[in-house]
Amino acid sequence: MSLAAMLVPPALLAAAAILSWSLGHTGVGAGRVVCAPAAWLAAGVEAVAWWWGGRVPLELSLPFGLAGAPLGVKLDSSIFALQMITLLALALLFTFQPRDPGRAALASLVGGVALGTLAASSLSLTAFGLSVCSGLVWTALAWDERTEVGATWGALSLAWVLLLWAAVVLEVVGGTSVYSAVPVTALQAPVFLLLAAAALLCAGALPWRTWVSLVWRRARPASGSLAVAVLVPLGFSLLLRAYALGAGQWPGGWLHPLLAGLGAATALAAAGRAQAAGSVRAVRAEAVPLGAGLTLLGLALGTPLGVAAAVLSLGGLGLVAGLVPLLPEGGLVASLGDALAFGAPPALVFGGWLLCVQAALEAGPVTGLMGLVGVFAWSVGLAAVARATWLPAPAARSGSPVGLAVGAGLLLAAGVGLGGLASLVAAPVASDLAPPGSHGAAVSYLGGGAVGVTVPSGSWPAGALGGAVAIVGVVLLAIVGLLRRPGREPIRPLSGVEGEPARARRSVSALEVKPLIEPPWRDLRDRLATRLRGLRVPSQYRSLVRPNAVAAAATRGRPWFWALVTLALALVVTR
Amino acid sequence: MTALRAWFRDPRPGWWLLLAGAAGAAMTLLCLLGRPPGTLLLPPPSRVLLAFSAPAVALMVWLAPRGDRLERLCAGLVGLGSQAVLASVPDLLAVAVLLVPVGFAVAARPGRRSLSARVRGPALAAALLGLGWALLRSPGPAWLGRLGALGVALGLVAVGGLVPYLQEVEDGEPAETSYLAWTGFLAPALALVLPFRLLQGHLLTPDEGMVVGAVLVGLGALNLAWGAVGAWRTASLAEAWRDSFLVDWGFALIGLGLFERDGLAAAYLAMLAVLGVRTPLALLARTAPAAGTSPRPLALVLVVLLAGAAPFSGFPVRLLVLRAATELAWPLAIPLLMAMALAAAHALRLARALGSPRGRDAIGLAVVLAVSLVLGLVPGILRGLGGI
Amino acid sequence: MEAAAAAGAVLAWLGVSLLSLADARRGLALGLVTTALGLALAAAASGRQPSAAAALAAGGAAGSLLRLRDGEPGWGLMRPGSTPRLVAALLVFLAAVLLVGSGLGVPTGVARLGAIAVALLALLRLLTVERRSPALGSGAALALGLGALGGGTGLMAAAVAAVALGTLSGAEAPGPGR
Repeated sequence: MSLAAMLVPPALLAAAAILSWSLGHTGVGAGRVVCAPAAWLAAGVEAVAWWWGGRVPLELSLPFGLAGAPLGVKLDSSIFALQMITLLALALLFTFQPRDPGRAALASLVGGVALGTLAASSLSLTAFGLSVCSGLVWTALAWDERTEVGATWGALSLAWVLLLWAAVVLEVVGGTSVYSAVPVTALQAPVFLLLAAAALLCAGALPWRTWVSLVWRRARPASGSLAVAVLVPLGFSLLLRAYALGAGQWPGGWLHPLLAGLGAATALAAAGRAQAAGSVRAVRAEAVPLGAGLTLLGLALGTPLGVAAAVLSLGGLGLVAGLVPLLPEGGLVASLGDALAFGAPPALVFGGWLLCVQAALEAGPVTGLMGLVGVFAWSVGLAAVARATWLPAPAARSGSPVGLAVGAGLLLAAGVGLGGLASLVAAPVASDLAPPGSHGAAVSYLGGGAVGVTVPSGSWPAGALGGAVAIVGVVLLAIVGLLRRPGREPIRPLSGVEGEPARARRSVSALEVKPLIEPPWRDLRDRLATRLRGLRVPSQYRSLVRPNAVAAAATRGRPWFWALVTLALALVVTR
Repeated sequence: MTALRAWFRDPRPGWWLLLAGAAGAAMTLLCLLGRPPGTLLLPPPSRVLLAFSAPAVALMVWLAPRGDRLERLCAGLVGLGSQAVLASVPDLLAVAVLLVPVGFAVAARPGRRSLSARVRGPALAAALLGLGWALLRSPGPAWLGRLGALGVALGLVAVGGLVPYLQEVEDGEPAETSYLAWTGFLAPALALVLPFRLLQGHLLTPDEGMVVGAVLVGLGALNLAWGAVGAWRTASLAEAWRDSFLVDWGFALIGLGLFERDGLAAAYLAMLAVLGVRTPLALLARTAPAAGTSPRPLALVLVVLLAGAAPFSGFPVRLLVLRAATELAWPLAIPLLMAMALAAAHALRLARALGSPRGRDAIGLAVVLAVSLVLGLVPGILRGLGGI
Repeated sequence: MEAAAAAGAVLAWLGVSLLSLADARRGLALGLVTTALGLALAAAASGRQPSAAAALAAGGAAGSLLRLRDGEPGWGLMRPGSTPRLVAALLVFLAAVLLVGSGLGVPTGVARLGAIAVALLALLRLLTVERRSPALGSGAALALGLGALGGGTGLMAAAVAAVALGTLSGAEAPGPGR
C-alpha cells in the first residue's frame, strides 16, 4: 500500500495533465473537471494508502539514472505530511480557480513534479526536481502576465543552482547524495548553508520582499498561488531533510539560532510590510511570508516540539495558499478570511504559530526572545488585517464563495482537530527527524488528543474551546449573512496603485490610511539602488579603465589583439 | 527524383559546390566506415556527434527558402564531411593542416566580410595547433614543451572562435559563413577528439598537462563570464546568440581542462547540446518572427531550456562540470555557479528573439525541444554510446 | 644530408619571404613553389619518406601553377609599405632558430627550422593581408609549413591542401561578398 501512496498521486496528476491538454486540443474545455478530481483523488489515495499500509517508510531505487542523478523515491512520515499539504492546497486551487485546459494541464503537471520532487531519494534528484518545478512555475507565471516573473525566475534559478552544488559537494565528500546512504559526517556546515540558502530562496522565507510576496500582487493570482502552494512546502522539505541527513541534528549548534533568528526577522519584516501595505492584495501577499518566518523559527529550534510545530504551521500555510486567492477583495467575509490567514483563532494557522512560539520559548532564553519577536510580528499582522478593511481593492473580484467556505472550513476543522493532527501527523515526523535522544537539555514534548494539544509551557484546548469558538463564529456569520440582503453592499472597483498613499474606502474616504509603524529604513533599498546607479568612475580615472574599448577590440576580430594575447600567454607559460 | 528536384527548385548551385557536396558526403561515409583503415578512424564520441550534426544540417536545409535548399544541402554536406575528417584523422598535425583548406572553403562562400577577414581565425587556429603539436613532440628544454601545450590549448579555443579569438559578428550574415560554422558546427568535433589524442599517447608531461588544463579552465571561465554577461548586455541580438554559445563552450572547456571523467563527460554532453540544440535554435532565431505580446507556452519553455534548467540538456552538463570542479578544487565551482545563475537572465532575451514560431519553425522547435529533453533526461545512454 | 636539409630550409624561408613580399600572381606563385621545393628538400634530407616529400613538392607546384590563373598580373614585389614584412621575415627566422634551439645540429631540427619559419611568416601575412589572392597563397604556404612539421600523413595532407587552395578563385569579387 505504501507503494501506491508513493506512486499513484504524482501519476494521477500527470495523467490529468495529459488528459486536460488533450481535451483542450480537441476543443473540450474540461481542464478543471479533470484536474480537480485528480487532485482530490490523489490526496485521498495518499492518505488511505499511507494509513492502511501501516505508515511504514518505503524506499524504491531504480537501476537507471535520471539526468545524471540516481533515480529513486521514498515515502516516510515527513514526505507524507508535505505531500498532503501540497495536495490539499492544489485541490483547493484546481477546484475553485478558473483555468483553461492548457493552464490546468500545466498546473497539474507542476503538482505531479512537485510530489515527485518531495519524494526524491537523493539530493541531486531533488535539485533536478526543483529545477523542473521552477521552470514549469515560471512558464505558468509568464503565460499569465509578465509582471514580477523576472525576480521569481532569478530567485528560483539561484535556489536550484545552490541545491545542485550542495548535492555535488555531498557526493564528493560522502560518496553519494542518497539521503539514506549519506554518512552523517558528510553534512558539514558549508553544505548545510548551501542547502539552507536554497531552501529559504525556494520558500521565500527571507527578511525582505521575496518572490512569494511579489507573485501575489499580480493582477492574475492563479499561477502565483500555484507557485506558492508548490514551492513553499518544497523549500521547507529541504530543511526537514537536513535533519534526516544529520541524524536529527544540523551540523553546528550555531546554525539553529541563526536560522531561528532569520525566521523571526522574516516574520517581523513581513508583518511590517503588511501593516504598511497600500492595498488589500499587498496585505494578503504577506500572509505566507509571515507564516513562513514563524515556521522557520519553529523548525530551526531543533527540538521535537519545534519540528512538530513547524509541520503544523506548514500545513496552515498550505491551506492559506489555497484559500487566499479565493477570497473576495472586500467585505466582512474577506476580512474574516484574512484574519484566519494571519493567525486568528481557532484555525490551523493559529495553532501552528502558537506551537512554534511555545517551542521557541521552551528551547532557551535566546530563542525565547525570538519567540517574543514572533508574537509581536503576529500581532502586527493581525493589526494589518484590521487596517486592511480601510484599504482600496485593486479590482472588483468576488472570489469563490464556495471555495472560501471549503478552504476556511478546512482551516477551522484542522484547527479544531489540532490535537489529532499533532499526534497523528506532526509527532511522528518529529520523532523520525529529531528524535529526543539526539538533543540535550532542550527536550520538550507535544501531547495531543481530541481535546487539544499539551506542551510543558501550557496547553491549548483546540477541540474544546477552539471548537466552541468556531461553532459560535460560523453561527454568527450565518446570522449576519441571513440579515443582509445579497448585493446590498457591492464591492466598489477602486484602483489602488502601489507606491501611492493608500486612500480610505470606508467612512473616512478623504483621509490617507497611514502605516501603523513607519520604520526609518522603509525606503532604504530604493535609496541604495538610486545611489548605486548614480556611481560613476571619476573623470580623471576614466582614461585608465576602458573596458568598453577592450571589449570592442576583442569582439571585432582584430589580429593585433589576438597576437598580443597569445604573446602574453606565451610569456607567462615559458617563464 | 522529379519531386526531389521540385522541392529543391532552381537556381542550382555551381558545379563545384555540387562536387564539393558529393565529396563531403563521400568523406562522411568513408570516415564512418573507417576506410582506409589506419588513416581514418572515427572515435565513438565523434560518431554520436556526427549523428547530432546530421539533423542540424537537415534543419538548415529545411528552413532555407526553396531556391537556396540545394546550395545549403551541398554546403551542409561539405561541413559534415569536414567535421568527420577533422574527427577521424589520428595525426593532430594533419588535422591542423586540413583546417586551412576547410577554413578557406568556409570563408570562400559569398558574404559581407572579405575572405581574408573570415579566414584569419581558422588560420591562426591551424597554426597554433600545428606548431603547438610539433613543439610538444620535439626534443628540447621544458619551456618549449609548455609553449607547445599552450599552442594546442589555444588552437582549440581559436578553432571555436572563442574569447580571446572572437570573430566579428554581423547581423544578416548567412549561417554557413558566420561564426556558427565554426563555433556551432566544426569546432565541437575537434573539441571532442583533442583530449583523447592528447591522453591516448601519454604525450604530455605533468608540466605540459598542467599548462593545457590551466589554459582550458582559465579560458573556459573567461568564456563563461563573457558569454553570460555578454548575451545579456550586448546591444546586438546576433552577438547575444554568439555569446550564448560561449556559455556552453565555457562549460566544455572547463570540463576538458579538468582532465577528469565527469569533466570530459560534461564537455561531451555540452558539445552534443551545441550541435543538437543551440545551433538549431540559432538557425531558427534567424527565421522566426519577433515575439508578440502574448507568448505561447512553447516559446516560454524555451526560456527554461536556454537557462540550462532541468529537464533539458543544460542540466546534466552543469551537474557533471560542478562535480568535476568540486572534486578538484571547490572554489572553481563559484564562477560556474555565478554563470549558471546569470544564464537565467539572458535566456529571457534569447527566447524572446525566437518569438512565437509557427508552421515549419514550430515543428523545428518541437524537434529541438525533444532532442534537448533526450539529452537532459537520459545522458547516461548517450555517454554509453560515446564510450564516456 | 645536413647540408641538404639546411639548403632546403633556407630555400623555404626565402620562398615564403618572397611570398610575403609579393602582391601579384607571379610573385606569389614563385614564392609558393620555392617554399614547397625547399620544404620537400629539407623533409627528404631529414629522413622523411621520399614519396611524401615528392608529393609535397608536387602539391606546392600545382598550387602555385593554379595561382597563376587569376589575381593581379605581374610580380608585385616589394611594393611601398612592404618594409615591415621584410623586417618580419628576418625576425621570424630568428624566432624559428630560438624555437628549434639545440635541434639545429641534426637534419630533422634544421628541417623543422624551415617549416616553422614558413608557417610563422605565412601566418603573419595571412593575418595582415586584405586581398584574396595573397591570402590564398599565404594559406597554401601555411599548410605546407605545418605539413612539413609532421610525418608522411602531414606531408600528404599539406599537398592536398595546397592543391585545394589553388582551385579557389583569387579574383576579387565586386562589392559585398568578396
